[in-house]
Amino acid sequence: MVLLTLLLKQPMYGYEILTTLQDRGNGEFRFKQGTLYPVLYRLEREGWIEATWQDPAEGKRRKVYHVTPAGRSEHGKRTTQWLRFTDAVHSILKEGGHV
Amino acid sequence: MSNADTRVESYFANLEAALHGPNKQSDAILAELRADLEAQVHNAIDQGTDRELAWANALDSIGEPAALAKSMREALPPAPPKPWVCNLRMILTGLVAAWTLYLLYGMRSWDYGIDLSMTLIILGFHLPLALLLWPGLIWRWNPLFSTGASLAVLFLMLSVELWARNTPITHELGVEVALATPGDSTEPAANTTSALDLPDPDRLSKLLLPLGFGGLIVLVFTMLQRRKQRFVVLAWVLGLLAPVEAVHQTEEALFCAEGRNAVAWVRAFETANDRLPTSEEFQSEYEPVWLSRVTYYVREQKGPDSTNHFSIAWARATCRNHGLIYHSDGTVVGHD
Repeated sequence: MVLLTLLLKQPMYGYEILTTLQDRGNGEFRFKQGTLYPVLYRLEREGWIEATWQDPAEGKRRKVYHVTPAGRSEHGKRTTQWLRFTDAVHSILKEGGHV
Repeated sequence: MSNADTRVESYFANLEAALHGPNKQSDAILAELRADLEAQVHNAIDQGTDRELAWANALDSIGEPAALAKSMREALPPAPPKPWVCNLRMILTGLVAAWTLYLLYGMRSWDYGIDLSMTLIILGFHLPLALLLWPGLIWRWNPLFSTGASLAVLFLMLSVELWARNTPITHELGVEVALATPGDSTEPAANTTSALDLPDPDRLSKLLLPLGFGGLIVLVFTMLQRRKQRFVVLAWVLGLLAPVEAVHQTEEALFCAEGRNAVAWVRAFETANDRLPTSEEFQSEYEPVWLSRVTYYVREQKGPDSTNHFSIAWARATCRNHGLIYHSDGTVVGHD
């Protein structure tokens, strides 16, 4: 869900995804590259993201991932599920006086 | 060549070997990884890290080549086949689908009403084959599926082949049903089993086989990784079944309507003349409403208490080799 959210905002290549995750995730997401690629390939296998090779005017050729319509739909569903779950946890914590 | 360069080249050589040698897909993985690692190293060098150390950190972050290759192989979408292989597989799938449609149509014409058992068997027999042939479907990565299920399909194909060769399938799985009248359903009538039905122990095999094939169909659907592909396949299957069923249901509804009309005419004739009409009388005097070429014949019964029975038959318009018969004992059956 997190990767889909990032890629929905803009298509990215592998290393760019890693650095963006670290920057935006308050240091909580410390993916190793060795973990990232299998996850990306799995999302590609599900048909939720697609990759294209891009040749920028400057710099090296890169494999850039973007979200497909199926991925967009899946992202919507998972986000709803996640929000429902975190709301439930939050209300329990609140009732217990922990928040 | 520096130590870092040697280490990098050695790493990529090992990774390529672990990905099972050079091919288009491996080349793409290696190119992607190399480009991203170089970006990472450049970034680290810009922040003041030594080049040797930057490469060492980058290689550490992706882990051992063998472990990385294993996790990648499990997650990678399958490589698209070569165009000629792709075309061949599409043609073969089309042939399997056409053959399945032919079988479904022929099988449906044998009977009065849908025979779910045979439909499941024919679909369960051919659907996995068609889907495995069709290029572009993404299957869940599961070694049990690729080996175990393939063996299961092979076993089921062989068992069906042997079973079908020695068994009068039409009579084993056929049921006779009462002529549908308004308000009636086409449920099998009680105690109207075929004379060629086998004894009870065989009922188990009759149930097991369709259930087995039904299970296989469910397995095949669950093994399709992409939800969209599952829906498309389901739509195709229903799209194959719908016209077959629509044609036969229409024919059967017309036959039922004509049958009721003809039976009413025969009974009226019988009341007026105290005997059943002859075939000639039926042909010359009865005016069909829904179907032409309805055949009528009387089956004479010997003995003092016997009463004559009659039958009304009609050859299906869409499949001349098969037809429907109404017997005056209240059953309707399909016939060759």
